[in-house]
Amino acid sequence: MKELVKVENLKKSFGKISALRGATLTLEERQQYVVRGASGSGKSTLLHLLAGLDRPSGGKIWVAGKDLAKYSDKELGRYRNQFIGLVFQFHFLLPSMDCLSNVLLPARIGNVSVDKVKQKVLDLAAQLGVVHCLGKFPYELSGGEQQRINIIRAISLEPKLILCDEPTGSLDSDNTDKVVDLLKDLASHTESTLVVVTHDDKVARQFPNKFFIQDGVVVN
Amino acid sequence: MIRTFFKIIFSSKASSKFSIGVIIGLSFSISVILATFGIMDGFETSMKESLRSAQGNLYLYSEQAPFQINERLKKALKKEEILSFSGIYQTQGFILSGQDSKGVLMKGISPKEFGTVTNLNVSIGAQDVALGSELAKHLKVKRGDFVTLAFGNKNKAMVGIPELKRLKIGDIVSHGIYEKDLRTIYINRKFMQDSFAVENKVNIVLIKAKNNSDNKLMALRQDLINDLGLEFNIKIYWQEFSSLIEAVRIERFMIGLILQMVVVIAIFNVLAFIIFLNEERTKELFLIKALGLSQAQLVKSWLFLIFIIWTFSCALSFFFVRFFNYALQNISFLRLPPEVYHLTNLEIILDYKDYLVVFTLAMVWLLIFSGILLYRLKKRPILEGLRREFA
Repeated sequence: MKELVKVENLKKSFGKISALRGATLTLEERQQYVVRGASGSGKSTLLHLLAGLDRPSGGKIWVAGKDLAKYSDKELGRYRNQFIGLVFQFHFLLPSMDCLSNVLLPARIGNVSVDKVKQKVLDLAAQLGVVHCLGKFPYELSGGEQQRINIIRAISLEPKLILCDEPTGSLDSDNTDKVVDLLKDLASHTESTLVVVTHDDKVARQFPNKFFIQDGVVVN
Repeated sequence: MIRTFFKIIFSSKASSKFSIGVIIGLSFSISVILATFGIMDGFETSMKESLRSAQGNLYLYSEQAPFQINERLKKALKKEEILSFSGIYQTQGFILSGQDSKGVLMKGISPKEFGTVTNLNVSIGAQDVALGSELAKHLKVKRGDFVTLAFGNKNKAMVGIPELKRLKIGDIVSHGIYEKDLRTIYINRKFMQDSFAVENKVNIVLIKAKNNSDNKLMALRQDLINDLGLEFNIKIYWQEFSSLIEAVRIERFMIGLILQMVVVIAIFNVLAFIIFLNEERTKELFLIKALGLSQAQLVKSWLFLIFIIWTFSCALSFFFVRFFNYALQNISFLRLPPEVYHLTNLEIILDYKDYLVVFTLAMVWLLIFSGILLYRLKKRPILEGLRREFA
């Protein structure tokens, strides 16, 4: 398997608090991972650093052989837009836009052909059974529907790495299973690497590759 | 992307209302400066136009005595740059009507010549007098009424006894300058020359030049001085009020500087608006950054918003200035006292340079202050919006 992202001795402090104390791991192409750990162990911080949303206090993140810390503002923007697909726990759909506009947001930000992406989005929406939601506003949808729209937005530009931060945290058990299956299927279909951060054992059991974070260090 | 940014920014009524307030505030501040410049420019322009209508472009006089427009003088005045000239015999006297009297400048003119040089049509017959409009108001007289003029007697044996002449008011004229409208009367030149027994002599010659730009007039004045020597004093039409005009120019600059404070205060509203949007839309701004918007793109979007605010403010200020101008001329308590400001009517006159200077300065201030703010905002971590989501 080809290495996609390599994390070396990654550290992140917020003032006197150390969220990551030297995490090291490797993510390979087309693999699916789960990151587990207790609340406050640093798993979300790791995800944010991988997503380029924050800068590490120490250590390196190598993306396709290049140090993420050396990315310019513009390169980092493009990295977040086209390399990464982010799925948030609380969906984070813009309430002032309908769902179609929400899912086309990455294309608009990245100056990618909206027409091309739109067709893909429609196919995905049909596959996930949320075509009827595209014309609606987020507040008109159920939690499960919102999360599916959120997932469509994350993979609309076929990112190499899909990062999910507690994607099932706000869902009931039925929807949790559906969303996990969906993420795994879509990641396989788009040949993306999938990283799911969760503290849910049931979700974690569905992934063959597991990382466990304890006190800011990857322990297995 | 800009469209999406605007959709996010203006998704609540509060931000839309705030933006309207910000635009009105900034446009009002800009228009205050424009109106001030316009009043100052209007003062200078109106003053010059009014003076031109009273005494042509240049005037020459001799301090020694009345003089004849002889061949030498005629030759000097036959320049290509001079369109026409008109001799005037003028002196001071008193005008009386009923119980009222006023000291006046009596100008003996040839109405046709005078009209050609000054564009001021004074319609008087041989035994008529024309009064300035403010003087007519003061004396409560109208065209067709009779007034009495009292002036120095030519008869040396009767020094101290004024000569009195009763004349019909043939015309009431307005120069636009309060002092001139209050203190000037026009009489037929021949009548004046006969009354003062100066034959066909004059004591002032008004000159109409081809080009009335200040530089050309100064060059022409110098030419005439070279031709005529020191026998005559030659002045440009505005020189009588030159110190006042210069004072207005300096005042305009100083007030313009001071009023920049008003714009800066209005710009703080713009900054408050940006801070407000940043706080209110933190989560949304985090999201678009998380989805790939670079900090530079975000700064560009803010700058575009600032540019839009500036554009609308400038456009609105144009209408505010029109409104101020209307109010200045039509609302009585806003009218300037003419006895203080010399002009009977003052309007806001602005040229493109005034707009350019004021609009550009407003933009410069906006860029300086918002640049500092945006630099600080740029340093805020992207994750702040996410942390607030979970807070």
